[in-house]
Amino acid sequence: MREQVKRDRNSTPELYNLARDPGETANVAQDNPGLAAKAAALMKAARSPSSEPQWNF
Amino acid sequence: MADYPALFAAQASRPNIVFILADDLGYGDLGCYGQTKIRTPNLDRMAAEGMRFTQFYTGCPVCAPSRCTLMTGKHLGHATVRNNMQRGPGLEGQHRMEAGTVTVAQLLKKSGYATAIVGKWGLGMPEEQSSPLDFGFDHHYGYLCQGMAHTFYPPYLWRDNKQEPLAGNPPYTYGQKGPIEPTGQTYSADLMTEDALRWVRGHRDQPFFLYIASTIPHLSLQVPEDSLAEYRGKWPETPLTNSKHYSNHDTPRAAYAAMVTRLDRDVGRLLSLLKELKLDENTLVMFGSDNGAVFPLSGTDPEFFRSNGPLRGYKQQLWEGGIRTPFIARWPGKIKAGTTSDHIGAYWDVLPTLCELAGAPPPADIDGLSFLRCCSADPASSNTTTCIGNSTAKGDGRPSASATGRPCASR
Repeated sequence: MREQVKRDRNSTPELYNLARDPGETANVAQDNPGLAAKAAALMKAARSPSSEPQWNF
Repeated sequence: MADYPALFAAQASRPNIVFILADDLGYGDLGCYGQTKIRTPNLDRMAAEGMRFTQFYTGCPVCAPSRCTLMTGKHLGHATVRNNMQRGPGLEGQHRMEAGTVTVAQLLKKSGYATAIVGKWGLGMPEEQSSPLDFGFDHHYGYLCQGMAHTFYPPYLWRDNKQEPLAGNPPYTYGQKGPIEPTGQTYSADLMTEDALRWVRGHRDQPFFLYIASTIPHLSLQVPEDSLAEYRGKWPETPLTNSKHYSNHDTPRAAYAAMVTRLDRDVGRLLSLLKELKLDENTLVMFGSDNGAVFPLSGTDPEFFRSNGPLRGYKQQLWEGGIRTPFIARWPGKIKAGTTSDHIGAYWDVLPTLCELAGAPPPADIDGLSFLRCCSADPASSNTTTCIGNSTAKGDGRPSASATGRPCASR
């Protein structure tokens, strides 16, 4: 997940291992840079512009 | 009919579909999801008679966009409504859905279903051609505007794009200053339940799609005495006296629990009616919430109730607590009783699933994937291996949910 994308288009991706850590206590993005980058790329690719300007960021 | 799954092909007539959406109900608010303080016997029974999903996701951690994904099969990177937004200062209603948006109601209607939404719409208003009737529903009764739904005692509800006054309720305008009047004479959720039951009776002889968008247990904390009595005095309470935009309550914990139990009672009434009309075995009923439980606000106490179970975060946040939802699917004879699925699904998967069920081709540009196979009672496809094996591309070239590599395991 990424937070505050509206304020920062390149906000840092966070990654949680829900199988081991359902309460999302430990961000494991630094230990899994490949996976975090892949998730971030997916998030960027999976969107199209909105007709509402406030929703484009 | 090439896409119609063999599992369901024996179905003589197409099944009815009821989708019940709760409002701000958390992942841990139901007994069948670990709740210990609030009584939800009917939803617990619904889960015991059907399938309980442990990793199902709403469309968004807030209301309107979550409902948009449910209606359109598109996730928030493509959806037409991507956040909560009033359509204008002081105006009733939210941002409209764009003209030309295709909804599940339109697709089911086109394939012969009677369609209705009873409850909260939140996706635009009639004067902007964005009411439920503009997007495939034959009938709507309830709220059009999320803001008006902040009171359960509104001065009116909408019936098929016309305001219908409610007897004995105080005046209320969305955006008005100060707290909401705590009570009135006519509790909106009761009227909406009555309308839903009446509509089912009137459409028993044709395939129908009923979307019940309950406004429980969203704020304000308001509930009739016959429900409150069960919980009053049960726990220590801090009376709420300074609510800014919602109503105050003397026993907010009791009120929240009573609201959830009242919603549960209403689900029970619907399931009883389906049985009485002998529609039970030809009706798929699904239940979920629009987003996670709200953070402590105006009397809610999600930590006391563990409303989001073990999950982190609340409504408005992308932590699991904001987006993971209790999700139950019941269809006697078709969905095996007492099963649990850890299939990862989301609300944009509902449109293609219901389309597959109805034999209606889904649009090519949706994001969702049907999870119908994950619901099968057929023992041959209710284990992980076979379910993945079954997930070859369908006739339209779109893979089914289980083809994503995620097993739709049942156990």
